Amino acid sequence: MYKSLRRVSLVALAAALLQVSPISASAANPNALAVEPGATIPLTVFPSQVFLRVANDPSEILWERVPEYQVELVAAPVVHHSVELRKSSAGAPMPLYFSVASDGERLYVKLRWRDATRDRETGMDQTRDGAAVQFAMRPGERTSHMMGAPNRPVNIWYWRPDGDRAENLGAGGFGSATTLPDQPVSARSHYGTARVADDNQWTVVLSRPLAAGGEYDARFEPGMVHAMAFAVWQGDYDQRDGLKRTTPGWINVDFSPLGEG
Amino acid sequence: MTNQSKRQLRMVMDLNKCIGCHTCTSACKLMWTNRNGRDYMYWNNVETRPGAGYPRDFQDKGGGFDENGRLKLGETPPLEDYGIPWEYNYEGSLINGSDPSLRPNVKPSWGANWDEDKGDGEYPNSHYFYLPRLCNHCSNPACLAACPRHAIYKRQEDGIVLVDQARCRGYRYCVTACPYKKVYFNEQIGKSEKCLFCYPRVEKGLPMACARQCVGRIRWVGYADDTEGAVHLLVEKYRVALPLLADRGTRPNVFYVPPDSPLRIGTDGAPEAKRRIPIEYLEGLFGPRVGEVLETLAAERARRARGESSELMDLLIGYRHKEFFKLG
Repeated sequence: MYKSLRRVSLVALAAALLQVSPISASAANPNALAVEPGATIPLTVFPSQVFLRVANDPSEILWERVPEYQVELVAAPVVHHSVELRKSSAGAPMPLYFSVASDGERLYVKLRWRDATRDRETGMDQTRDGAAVQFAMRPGERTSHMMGAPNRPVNIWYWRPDGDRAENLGAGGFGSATTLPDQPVSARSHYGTARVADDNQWTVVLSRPLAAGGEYDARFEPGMVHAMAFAVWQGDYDQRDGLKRTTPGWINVDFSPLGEG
Repeated sequence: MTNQSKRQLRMVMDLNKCIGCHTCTSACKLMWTNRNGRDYMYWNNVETRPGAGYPRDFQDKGGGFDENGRLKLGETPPLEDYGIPWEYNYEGSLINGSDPSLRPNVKPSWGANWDEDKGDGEYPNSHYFYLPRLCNHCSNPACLAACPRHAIYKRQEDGIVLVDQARCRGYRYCVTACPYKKVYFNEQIGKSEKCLFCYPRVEKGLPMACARQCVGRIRWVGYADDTEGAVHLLVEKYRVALPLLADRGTRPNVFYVPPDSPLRIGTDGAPEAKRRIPIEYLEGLFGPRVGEVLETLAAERARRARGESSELMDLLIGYRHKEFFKLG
């Protein structure tokens, strides 16, 4: 039962027990595996008989069976004077919890992070929360984890809470994020409130069909190792654009389990 | 400057002729901002000075560049400082009679010309003048410098500064960076918008709606390099047209002939040496050359009064409306 799930879990558990760097048990959350940029994690494949009633459901119980990783997000390096002027709003490093899974048809990325305030709208003087997953466009190609580089583009899935939707973006360097003609990425979120506001948290699931034909859509195929990075914007700090917290490097996702299902 | 365009369209306004009728504002609003989330915006507004301006106290909201040419942080005005647009219950109160009275749907607390005609000073020295404002289509636009996405650009052919709506992602750095607060955020579409200098009209050789409709005929439009044009004569030859808040470092391309005013009346009822609108106040808006400009205007006016010729006075009077606009 749940062969691939079990196998992945065992690998993760073994890694945790052996303290194999850069994956280790998280100090902050013993149920999450701490990863550092540069680490390679396996894609979890849902068994074929398991079927998701609602795509992107953040409360889907199946996520409990998928390894959750923890990565430290830090203030993104400042690359524009407009951000430099506001760097006091960069925020302290914070953990982001994430899982990556597929049902053989779609790739799902689940993100979870603490946010004391739910900022859903953008107004003249208010800013919304946000989160993004970034993939190197072509597996194996080295590109900057900071929005890619010219001729070495990245594909970004950007979740926005206004309308609870995702945007499919391409980028090739700072300031170049561009809405792509095809929008195959979808998302749903849940904002959970706790007794203490600091423990409130967003859970967001973004997904896209594994096969997407757009020129700047990341290709996901069995056997690939894909570089992935994350960003989170805190609306309450007026964060937008490069004023964000990101993974300070790539995390690799091994798509091998996809072919073994 | 890297942002310099090949040609630059400029506008000059003679504040001595502005009657504060808001026809320019109406023309602009009807053409561009009466719909689709722009309702609160006045790309062109006419404010009474001394006064808070529009948006309220925009001069104190920062933006622009410091003396070393570095962008300065500014404040983003809340909607209240622009004035929350309101509508009346015409249908209910005037047509079908279901509402007892005609009233606005929000409690008005501020607007673009809320302090109109208030001015400053005590009788008999009370004073005010009108200051029409629109985007200055600066040669060194702070909005452009503030945008990390290159969504704001300056057209080579006429120097008009535009927001590329396809590139804008609504970061609002431009709103903050503009020291004149002439870039507006449209909450409905999540993007910033601003005065276009009516480029679709300009491309057909027609002046901006605000300039064309001005009943006081206070606005001249022309290219900076057209040495025969009125704009060049007023700005460069006679040097009587001054930019607003030039110390913000953006090099505006909208210029103003500063307003003259009668002499102050002393307690004995006799005129004093000083003008009623304090020169220091005007210098705060138009820079240190205000006094010199007012003296030039007075001297030329005196020449004309003596029956002598004055090209500058003829220019400012503007006998033929078409000559205000040189867009060919």
